[in-house]
Amino acid sequence: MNKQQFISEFEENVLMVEPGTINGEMILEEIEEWDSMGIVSTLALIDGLNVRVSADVLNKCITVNDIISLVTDKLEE
Amino acid sequence: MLKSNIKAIECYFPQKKEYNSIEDKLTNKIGIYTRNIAGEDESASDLAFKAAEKLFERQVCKREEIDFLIFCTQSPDYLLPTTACLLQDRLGLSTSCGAFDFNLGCSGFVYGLSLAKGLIETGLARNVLLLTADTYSKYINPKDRSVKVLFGDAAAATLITGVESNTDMIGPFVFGTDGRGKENLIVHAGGVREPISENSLIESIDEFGNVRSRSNLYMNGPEVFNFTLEAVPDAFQSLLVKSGLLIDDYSMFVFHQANKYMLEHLRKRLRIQVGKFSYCLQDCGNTVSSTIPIALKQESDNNTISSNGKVMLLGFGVGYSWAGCNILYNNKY
Repeated sequence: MNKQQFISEFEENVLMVEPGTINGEMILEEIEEWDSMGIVSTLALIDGLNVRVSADVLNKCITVNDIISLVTDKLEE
Repeated sequence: MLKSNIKAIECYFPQKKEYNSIEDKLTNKIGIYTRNIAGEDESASDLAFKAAEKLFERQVCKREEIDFLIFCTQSPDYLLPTTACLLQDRLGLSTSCGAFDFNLGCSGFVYGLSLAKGLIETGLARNVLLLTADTYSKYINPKDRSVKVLFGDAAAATLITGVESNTDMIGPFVFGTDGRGKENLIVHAGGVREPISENSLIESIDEFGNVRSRSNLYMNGPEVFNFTLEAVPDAFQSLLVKSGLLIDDYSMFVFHQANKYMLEHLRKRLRIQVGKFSYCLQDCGNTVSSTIPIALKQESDNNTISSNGKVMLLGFGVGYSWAGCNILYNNKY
């Protein structure tokens, strides 16, 4: 999975929004669909990459890129 | 040798229903469309009573043959006396019947089976009536969507009987506990540690707009999900090793029905095929300790478990507490 595929998965399975609506700079708090179920789905998404973080770490993420930085090592170029 | 066996299961759902909007994306994700809610004057013991009466109406067992009643609930009628004692009287069970409550949530049914097995296989009892019932709706703030859309009220009555056999029909078991998770699924006020006071009724609003007081149910969904990702695969593997079995040796997997999203993630992670994995929460939601018997009853009614097939049960949640076991499916429930 590369960064773009991660964002696509994030759109489809976490936020359930149309493809192409999310970019890395977007602020999570300002995304209407970002709720506690969104956090749960993000934990599931990154668990798929064998990365486990506490919910607190995810809560501290400000932008979509902050989430991506948690899994950078696992993403392909 | 005397071996314990699940002979019959009956379930009861309160009449009042609440619906999750089908237009809400969250509804499809959690896979819960309808939930049953206990009436204002209806307690968990009322639901358990009705489930047990259904068992007796089927005549699978006479009342006087029940020599042990075990009631699993987190919504007892009183702090004391024990609700199981009230149920013994109300169900017209013998006064020589043992009875006690135990307080567990989503792991409760599997723990109950282990207690029943212990009582039967040591010769202390012959017919154990295991009742599971909860009314979480009474703890849930109507303005707290993080829990409201998930939990439903229900009860299940399971008859476990001793039969002469050389084969284990319940077991082996794996258990687990991690009390560090206590704060992530809790009703703070109402017990002895924090009695109900004016303060415990003050509502506050969280960052997602959900409203609750300290006398309401609180769940940190993401942390509970994280716990599940850690505990369930480990318990699953331990039970496979302890049983000397492979995934293919099982006819069915019945996990605690927390929500569809979590179940689907666990199923994929554990590489269990869709047809062998029970989903039974669409019409009743997460019914805490009753989800596993409700799902078992459904799978039995639908003839989806092969005769003499092995079934893995795995419950996990509040505590944190978890437990898994195998059962041999050798008669319709």
